[in-house]
Amino acid sequence: MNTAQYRALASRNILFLLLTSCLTFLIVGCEDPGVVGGGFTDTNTAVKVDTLMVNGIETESYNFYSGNLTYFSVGQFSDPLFGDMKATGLIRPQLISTSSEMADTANMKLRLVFNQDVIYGDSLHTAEFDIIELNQVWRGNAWNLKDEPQFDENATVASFTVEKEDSIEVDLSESWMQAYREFATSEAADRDSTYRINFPGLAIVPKSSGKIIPIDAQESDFIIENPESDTLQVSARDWAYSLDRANVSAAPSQTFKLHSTFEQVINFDLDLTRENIGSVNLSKVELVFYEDRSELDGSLSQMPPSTGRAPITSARLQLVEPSNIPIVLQTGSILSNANYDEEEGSYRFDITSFTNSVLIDGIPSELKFYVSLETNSGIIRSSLIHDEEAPAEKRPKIIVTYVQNQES
Amino acid sequence: MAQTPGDQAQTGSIYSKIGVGMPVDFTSSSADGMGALGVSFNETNVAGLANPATWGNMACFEREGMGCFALASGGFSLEHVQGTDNLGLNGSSGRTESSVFSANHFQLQLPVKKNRIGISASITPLTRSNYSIIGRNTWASGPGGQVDTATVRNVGSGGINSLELGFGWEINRNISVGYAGSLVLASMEKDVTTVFQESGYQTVEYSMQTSGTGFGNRFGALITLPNVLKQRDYLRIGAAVNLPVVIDAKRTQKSEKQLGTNTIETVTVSDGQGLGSGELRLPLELSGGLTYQINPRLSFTTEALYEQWSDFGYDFNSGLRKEEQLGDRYKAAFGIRYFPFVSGSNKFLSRFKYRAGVSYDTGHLNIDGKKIETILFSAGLGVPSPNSNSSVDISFHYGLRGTEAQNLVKESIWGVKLSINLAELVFSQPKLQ
Repeated sequence: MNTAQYRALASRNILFLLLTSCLTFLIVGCEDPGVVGGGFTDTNTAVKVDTLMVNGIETESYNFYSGNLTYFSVGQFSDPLFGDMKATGLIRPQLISTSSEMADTANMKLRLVFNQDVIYGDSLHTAEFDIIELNQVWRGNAWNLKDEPQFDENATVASFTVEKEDSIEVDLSESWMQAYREFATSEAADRDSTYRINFPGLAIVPKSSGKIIPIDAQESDFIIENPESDTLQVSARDWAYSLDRANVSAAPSQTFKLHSTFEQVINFDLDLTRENIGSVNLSKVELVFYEDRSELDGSLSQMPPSTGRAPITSARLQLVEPSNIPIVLQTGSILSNANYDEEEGSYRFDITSFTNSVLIDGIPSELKFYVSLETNSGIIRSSLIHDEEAPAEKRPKIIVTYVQNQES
Repeated sequence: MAQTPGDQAQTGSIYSKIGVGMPVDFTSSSADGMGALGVSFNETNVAGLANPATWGNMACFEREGMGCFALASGGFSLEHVQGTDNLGLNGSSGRTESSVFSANHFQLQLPVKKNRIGISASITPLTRSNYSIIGRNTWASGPGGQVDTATVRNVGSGGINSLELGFGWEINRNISVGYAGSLVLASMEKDVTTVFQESGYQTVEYSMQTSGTGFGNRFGALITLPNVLKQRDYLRIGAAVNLPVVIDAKRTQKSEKQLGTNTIETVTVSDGQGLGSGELRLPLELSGGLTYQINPRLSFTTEALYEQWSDFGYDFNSGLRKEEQLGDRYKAAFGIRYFPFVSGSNKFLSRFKYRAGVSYDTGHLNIDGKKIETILFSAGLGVPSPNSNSSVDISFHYGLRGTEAQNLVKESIWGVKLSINLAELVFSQPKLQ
C-alpha cells in the first residue's frame, strides 16, 4: 500500500469511527423509562383472591405434662363455658449444697412471684391458699395435668392470700423446715438421691373460688434466713400443677373449644395442590380461624367487670405425625404462628412459603395439621373457635391471593 | 380490579408487545441505506437476503485465472425509540425513551458454479419483541372494603428467527430464480413481576415462555433487461414470495419459588389457560420491485411488500384480540444509490457509496381501527476496502410510527446499522498460457 492509499484508508477509518461514535453516544446516552401507552398495553394480569373452606376438623384431648413449665397455676374459678376449675400447684426446693449453712434457728420462707397480667377470673378477688405438705414423691418432668396430688388437709404448712400483689413471702412451718434441714445438713454420700426419693415438697391448694393465678417458677424461690450468717435463696427443683375441671358443658353449636393445656386441640387435612388452590403464582396464603367473641364475652357478662379470661395472643399451626402426638405439640417445630387479631377476632396463619413448598414436594400423607393455643407454658388459656358449620364468614378457611395471567 | 392509565412505561417499541413482535424484513446492508428490501437488485460483493434469485449472480472475474467471490455479511444495529402519548398528567404528554441493541442477520453466500449457481446460508430474525410495561392492579382485600395495590411489570423479549439454506440459479443473463428452505425457531419470553405495596404479601415472579419450530419456504425471481433506454443501463424486476409458516409451539409458565434463605425452586406449568401446545401461523409474504440503473454510478429503486397478517394465527392469544389488532401490511419504498467510487477517482468523497431513500409502512397492527403506520427516512454510506472487495456499510434512519389518537403511542425512531461485508476469492483457476 502506498502513502496515498494509506492516507485514504486512514481517512475513511477515522470518518467511520467518528460517525459511529457520535451516533452511538447520542442514541445510547438518552434513556428515560417514562410513562406512555395507557390505552392499550394491558399487563394482562390481575390479582385474585379466592376462599377455600376447611372441612373435616376433628378435636383431640390429651392429659399432657404440666410440670417444670415456665409457670404453674394455682386458684379456683367457675367458667360458664369451660367448667369449674381448680388448679393446685406443687413445688419442691432444691437441696442446698453441703457448703451452704442452714442454722438450727434458721427461718424458711416461700417466695412466690405472680403474673398478674394473665389472671383467669376476677382480678380483684382476694384468693386464699393453704400450703400443705405432700405425702407423695413426684417429679416435675413426669407430672400430668390431671394427676391428683396426695396430701393431708390437716398438714398445713402455711397460708396466704393474694389480691393484686406481684409477689408474696410466706413463712413456712417449723416442722416442715426441720424436715428439710435434716436432708440439707446430711453429709451422707447419697444425700441427693435420698432427698429426691423421700422429700415430697409442698402443694399450694386454693381455698376460695374467684381466680386462677400463674406463678413464675423461675422467679419464685425458697428463702433460708440464717440469723448469724448469709441468707440463702434456694430455687425450686420441681414444680407442677394439677387442673381439675368439673361441670364441663359441651361447646356451643358451631364452635369447638381450644385449651392451651392441650386438653383440647384440633386436627385437619388441607388440600394445597395446584388444582385446588388454582394457581402457582401465590402472593399470600392464609389459614384463618375465627373466635366466637360473642359467646365468649356473653358468658362472662353476668360477672363483675373485673372478670376475664387469660388473654390469648397467638395460636400455633403444626404439621406432625399423629403417632407422635401429644409430645410433639410441645416439642415439635411450628409451621406458622398466628397473632390474634383483636379487630377481626381471628387467627391468621401465613402459610404462603409452606404452600409454595407443597407445590414442589407435596405433603406426606401420614402428616396432619394441628392447631393449638399459645404455648403450654403453665398459664391456662381457653378459647372458642367457629367450626365448619358456622356462617360462611366465620368458618375456618384458606384465603389465597394470587396473580392470574389474563390473556384472552 | 382496575388498571390506571398513565402509570405505564416501556422500553423498546411498545408495539412489539402484540402478537409475536414487530416483523423484521429480509434485506441487505445495501438496501438498508434506502429503507428498501433489495428484492430487485443486488450489489457486487454484498450479500443479500431479500431475493434468493440473486444468489446465483455471484461476482466472478478473469485475471490471471478465473475467480469467484464468497460473501459473508453480518453486523449489528442500534435503535432509539422515543414514545409519547396524550395521557400524561394535566393534559400533558407521557414520554419515554429507550434504546435497543441487536445483532443483524448473518449470511454466507458461496458460488457453486461460476456465473450459474450460488448457495446461501443465513441466520436472520423474522420478528422481534422487546418491551417493558408497568401497570398497577388494585383489588378489594378485606371485608371492610380495604383496597390493596400492586405494581406489575411485564418485560418481553425474543422473537422468531430463521435458519435458512437456499440456492440461486442464473438461468441466463436475463433470468434468475432461487429457493430457500428454512428452519423457523420461535423463542419468546414474557417475565411478569408483581410487587405488592402492603406488607404480608410476597412478590410474585413468573415467566411465560413460548418456543417452537416450523419450516419455511421462499422463492424468488429476478429479470434483468439490459440496454433499456441507453447503453450500459438496465432494468431489473424482482419478486419474492415467502410462504406461510406453521410453527408447532409450546407455551409454559415457570414460577420461581424461594423456599428458604438460599433455596429457589422452579415450578413449571404446562396446562391451563394460554398454556400447552399450539400453533403460530406466520402469514404469506409477497415482495417485488423495480431497479433502474442509469449507469454504474447511479440507480433508482422502488419496491413494495405485502404481508397477510389478517391470516396470522396464534393459539396462545398473548393478549391478542386478532380481529381487532392485526391487519394486512403494505410497505412501499423508494431509494437512490450513487456510487462514485466506480470511477476510480482519488477524491476523498468519491471513494464511497451513497444511498438514500424513504419508505412508508402501514404496519401489521390495526388497533381499534387505527393502523400503526411508519414513515422512515434512510441514508447509507458504504466504505469499500482499498485492498480487497470487502466493504463496510453504515445506514441511518429516522422515522415516525403510530399516533397519539385513541390513546395510542407515537414513536420517533432513530437508528444506525453497521454491516461488515466480506468478499473473498474462492475459485482460482490459473489461466493456461
